[in-house]
Amino acid sequence: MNLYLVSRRRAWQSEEELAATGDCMGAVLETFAGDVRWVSSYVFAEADGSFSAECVYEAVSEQRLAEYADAMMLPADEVRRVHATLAA
Amino acid sequence: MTFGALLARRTLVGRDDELAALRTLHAEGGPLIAVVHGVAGAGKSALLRAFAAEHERYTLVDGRAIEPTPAGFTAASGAEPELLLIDAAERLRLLDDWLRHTYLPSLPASARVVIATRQAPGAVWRATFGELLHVIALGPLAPADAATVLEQAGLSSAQAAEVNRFVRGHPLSLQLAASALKEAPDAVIPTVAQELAALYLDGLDPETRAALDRACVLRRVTRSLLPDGFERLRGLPFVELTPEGLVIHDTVREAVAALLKATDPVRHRACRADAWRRIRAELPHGGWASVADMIALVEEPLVREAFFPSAVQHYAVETARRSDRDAILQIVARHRPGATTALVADWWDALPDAFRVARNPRGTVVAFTILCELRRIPHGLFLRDPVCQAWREHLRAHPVPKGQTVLAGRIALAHGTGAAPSPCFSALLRDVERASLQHLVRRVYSVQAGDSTDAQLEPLGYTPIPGGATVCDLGPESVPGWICSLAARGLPVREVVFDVDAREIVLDGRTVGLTKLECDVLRYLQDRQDQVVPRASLLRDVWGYEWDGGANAVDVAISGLRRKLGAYAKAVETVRGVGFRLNTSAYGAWARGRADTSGGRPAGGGG
Repeated sequence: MNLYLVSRRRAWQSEEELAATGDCMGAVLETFAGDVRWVSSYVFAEADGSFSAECVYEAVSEQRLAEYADAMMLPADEVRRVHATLAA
Repeated sequence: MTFGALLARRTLVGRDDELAALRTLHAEGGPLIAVVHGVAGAGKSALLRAFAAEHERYTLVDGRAIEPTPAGFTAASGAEPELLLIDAAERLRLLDDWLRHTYLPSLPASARVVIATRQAPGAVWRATFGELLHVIALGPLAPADAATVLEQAGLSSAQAAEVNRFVRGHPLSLQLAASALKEAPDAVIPTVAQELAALYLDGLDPETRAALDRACVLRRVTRSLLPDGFERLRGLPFVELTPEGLVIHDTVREAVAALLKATDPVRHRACRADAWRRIRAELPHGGWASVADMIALVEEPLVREAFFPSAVQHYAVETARRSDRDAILQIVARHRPGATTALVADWWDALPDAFRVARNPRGTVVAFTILCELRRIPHGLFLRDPVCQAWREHLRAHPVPKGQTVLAGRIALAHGTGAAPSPCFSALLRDVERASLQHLVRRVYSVQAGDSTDAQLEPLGYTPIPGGATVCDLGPESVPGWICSLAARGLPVREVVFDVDAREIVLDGRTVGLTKLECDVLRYLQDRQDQVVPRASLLRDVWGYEWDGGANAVDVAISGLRRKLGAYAKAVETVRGVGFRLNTSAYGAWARGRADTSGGRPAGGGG
């Protein structure tokens, strides 16, 4: 499994859409049978009222990560494989 | 005056800004709809009552007291209300779409609507109504107003200041804290309503406390459901008298129920069993209110959530629009490419109004199902779809009595998860359950959808049948009877359901067929339940005057009937030298099947 950072820009138009995504994420991840593991997401409020996120996943491939985004009906504007992690 | 009455009638303290905001409904160019939202106990109902008091004509719809269907709502709201106040709207989440798309747009331009609910309206409400919607957040009372409430409740200004340091203006907590402090002046006031409730409950006399324990498993308290506790509870500070009976504030009811279940599970179970028996006895003539009472006893979350969702519903379920065709077929192609996709296209062409879709907050179709009455499926689909053939075979082997409806749920798929359980998939399942309530549904046919989904449906009574199909037989009493049997699970109650039209008797979930004669005899006895029926009357009315086979025929029929009744055989008593009597008092609930429309008083053992 590799670590990926996925940018989802203006993926949600409202708090409700964000909540709905959180609601069904677990069920969709279940169907990926361990190929994709969500680590965490950082959500940003944009000036126009929409929301963007930088999401960290472990995945077996970029392909599976793209399939996961499709299943969630979410954009994946940029997918970057993490080279190394530095933490305090 | 009791504290409960004081709570119900108290004048509104503070909330001047909120009242002024509501009055803008009548201003030139002002909003048409106001939504007041705030946490439980924030004082939404009090604000509504105060605003209503400023008007000569208004209509109040209490979300706790009506059937959560369009018919139930319109029955309560009447025709073209001038000022419509909808309280406890969080109980009407099932009607969200209908209110937004159908009901509210149908009101005359002069109508004004105030909605009180726990959650702020979603983005779809703001998008639908724009500047015509005014949202009013109901926060805690200002310190001066909180002090006024507490001083009105009899606390000194020093006590009031001390209490409000902890409860911070939450109106229900203010009432509870004031009540607790009056009972125990040295009490330390905790910070949350549940703990405040517990503190107050500790001071109740044992009889009232016991009545509260029995009441906490009920959705509402009526004299018939809690004959020896009604008056005791009526004066409590967190109990409100509504058109449906006494309603205990959710926060307190949940706290009391959780406490009882954790500390005395046997008594909690006994309270639920007692409630079940009383509601069961009222069900044949109690209408939606009794069905709702029974649903509140069901522990199966999928059922309870179907009718009383506890959280905000992210997915709106509605009949598919013509423009949804491609989205639906894309979902099918994603999970079942090939023959199934072509088959679903055939269904769409034949029965587009059978498609129900779940939309996410943006309005995108994320899941769909096909649900219709079996008899509406055209012959061509029966020929093309093997599952339809499996349903028909089963129905031929197990026909339902005339007048009862058979539903067919052909497929349910979600974009992200297919047929696996997911929140939007559950929204569709709940929709199917609610659809069952609309008609006298006897049976729902569906398809096997994989282990995890089948496991989700199994507790609801779905069983597999040949041909990859499943069936859920709701029994002769349709949804109310089905709800009863679900609620009875794990409770020390027994049940008999007599279905005259199907010539069946269901004994604790086991169906036993009766001959026509046995059925006629049992019906005759049941119509005269607890009365002694002479042999001669049975012979005259069941066999007919012309019968000359001898009185022994009655004994033979009764003997056969008792054999089939098994453990319930003693319900048919012999009265020596006279005849027979049906005595069901020892058997929990002895219910009359809904299909039986004969006269006579309602059956039901109660007890």
